[in-house]
Amino acid sequence: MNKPFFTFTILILFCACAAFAGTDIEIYSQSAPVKNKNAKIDALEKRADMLVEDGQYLQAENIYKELANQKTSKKKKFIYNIKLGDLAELGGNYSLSLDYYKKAENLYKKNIDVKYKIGDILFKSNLYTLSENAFLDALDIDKNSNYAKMRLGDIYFSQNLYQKALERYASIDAYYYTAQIVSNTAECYKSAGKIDEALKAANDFLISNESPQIYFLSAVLYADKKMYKEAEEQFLRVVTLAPENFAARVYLAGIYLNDGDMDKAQENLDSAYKLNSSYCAIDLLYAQIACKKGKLYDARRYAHSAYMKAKSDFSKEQAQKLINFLKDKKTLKN
Amino acid sequence: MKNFIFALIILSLLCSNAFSVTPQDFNEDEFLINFYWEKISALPAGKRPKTALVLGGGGARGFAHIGVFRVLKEEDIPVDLVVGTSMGSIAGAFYCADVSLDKVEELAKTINWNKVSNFGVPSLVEMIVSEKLLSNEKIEKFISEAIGGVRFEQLKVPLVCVATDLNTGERILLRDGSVAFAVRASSTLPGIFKPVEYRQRYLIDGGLSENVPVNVAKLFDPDVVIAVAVSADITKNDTGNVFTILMQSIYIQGRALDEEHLRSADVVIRPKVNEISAVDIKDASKTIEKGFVAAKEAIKTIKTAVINKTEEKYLFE
Repeated sequence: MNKPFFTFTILILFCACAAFAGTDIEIYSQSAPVKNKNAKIDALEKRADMLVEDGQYLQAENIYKELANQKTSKKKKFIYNIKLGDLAELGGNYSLSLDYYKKAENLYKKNIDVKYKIGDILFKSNLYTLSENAFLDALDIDKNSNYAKMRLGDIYFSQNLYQKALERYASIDAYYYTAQIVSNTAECYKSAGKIDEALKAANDFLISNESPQIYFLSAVLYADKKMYKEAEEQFLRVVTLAPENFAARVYLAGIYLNDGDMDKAQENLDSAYKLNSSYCAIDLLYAQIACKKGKLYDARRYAHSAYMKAKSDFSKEQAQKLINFLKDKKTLKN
Repeated sequence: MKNFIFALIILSLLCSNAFSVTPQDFNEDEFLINFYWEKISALPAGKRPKTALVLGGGGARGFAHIGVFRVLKEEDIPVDLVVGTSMGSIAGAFYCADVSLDKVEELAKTINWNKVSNFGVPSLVEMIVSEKLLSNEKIEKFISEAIGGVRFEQLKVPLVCVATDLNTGERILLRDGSVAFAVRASSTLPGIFKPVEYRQRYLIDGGLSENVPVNVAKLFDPDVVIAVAVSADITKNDTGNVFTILMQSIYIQGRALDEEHLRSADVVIRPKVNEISAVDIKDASKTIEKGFVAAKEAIKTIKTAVINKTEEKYLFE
């Protein structure tokens, strides 16, 4: 046998084995026949779980439905209904998901996890009052439930009931704070004109959390209070942690421009431009720098570019004003 | 091979946008408004647009003006002129005299009809029986004490109070002499309080001639007019007795005029106070809060209006 023929034969054998090899699921289902009903149920559960992992939700759903309809323990029925609810939620069918969760709830009325799931589904469906009731029920079961408190805060926040949202967020154990909770809390304070409190909430979180989102929030709040040095520091932290943060770059450019530092303004605008060149604001700021440097031609070019990119009436109007301002000028003083 | 390289180049060009980073947390309009506002804030009064604040009448609904003031102060919105009618003139007096907002809120929460008039059941009975109108002299004293007895020329911000000549129906603009007196004249409810004698005229509530005095403000050539309307929802008013029918007739007349005047304003702030009665002075906190919320919602519009009226050279040089 010569070498090419040998290699070819091995290759053919390899391909044949691969073609006839079963998947994990097929192998599992073709294993030795199960001996008793419980083992069969376990096998089906495992199969369903694997189908879910594989993204085959419809097949998994069919198995869970079959399992749920069998004579089985209350605990198992509860689990199957939860899984069916989860699958329906994944498929975007919130109404069906709610039905399954309600069936599970009927089996164990004091189970807090199912209250959470019901509350979450109702919240996603914008049924705020019903969602609120579900989380209040959860709090009846466990008055220290941080998740329930957080979700109640989210429900009130979504309805602009900022005072109520604040009360709920404030009741959460600080250890469980997330960037989103802090961001919502700060927004609640801000809406009541309490910028100092909003800043404190953000800065307290930053003591033990390096969060670009909250550094950004803190920076914007400092800018609102006209504390531009502090705002600059926070924006710089944002770009250190998240160099791709476009907004921080633009805000920094704005701060440096108003401060008269054209080089730093330009540097940050260049970085922002590389990240996203479609914003009118960048060209308006470039035009501003060009005006300061006495570069009339560049200023006009950026003004026209800003006009083309403007997405809103306001930005279009500012670009037009700039075009008008530069139109008849022969020079710009720098 | 050439085709392969060409395809690769095309693919990379098509995919380049897929790898570009989308901006996070970037509201372009908000950024630009704040950026230009920063420039305008640094301008002296002569270079930035002149802004007039118009405060409409509405009785107890006018407590909402206090909430509006709070927002204007927080956001550093400069006001160059205040024009007020009735409760708007009362609120305007406090604003223009630079009385602390905490003090104003406190006064609003603790006020009662006894402090500002002899309005009450016995005097109402007397009025009906003897056809003798009530007096609102007390309000003049109350205002004078609260703002320090100032005259118009002593105010930090110019103020115009609008009253109505009972005999001729003319709109009378009060902008000199005692502020407290002018405020009293502007808020003299016809048929309830005695008209106020002024330079051989008998003055009553300015709401009868111009409840939201935008046209008055325009006489002074402002660049931006911000109007605060605290009108009632007249369809929900009680009309079960003489007094409420009298009030309803004033509301009907005033509503159409108000809307026409408001069309000339650059920014209209409408606190949700329509269901609050003009005489219900007990719930001042809630009314103040409604003014605060409405003003917060209007801030972007206010700043945009001022930016748009600012000369280009002050924004771009």
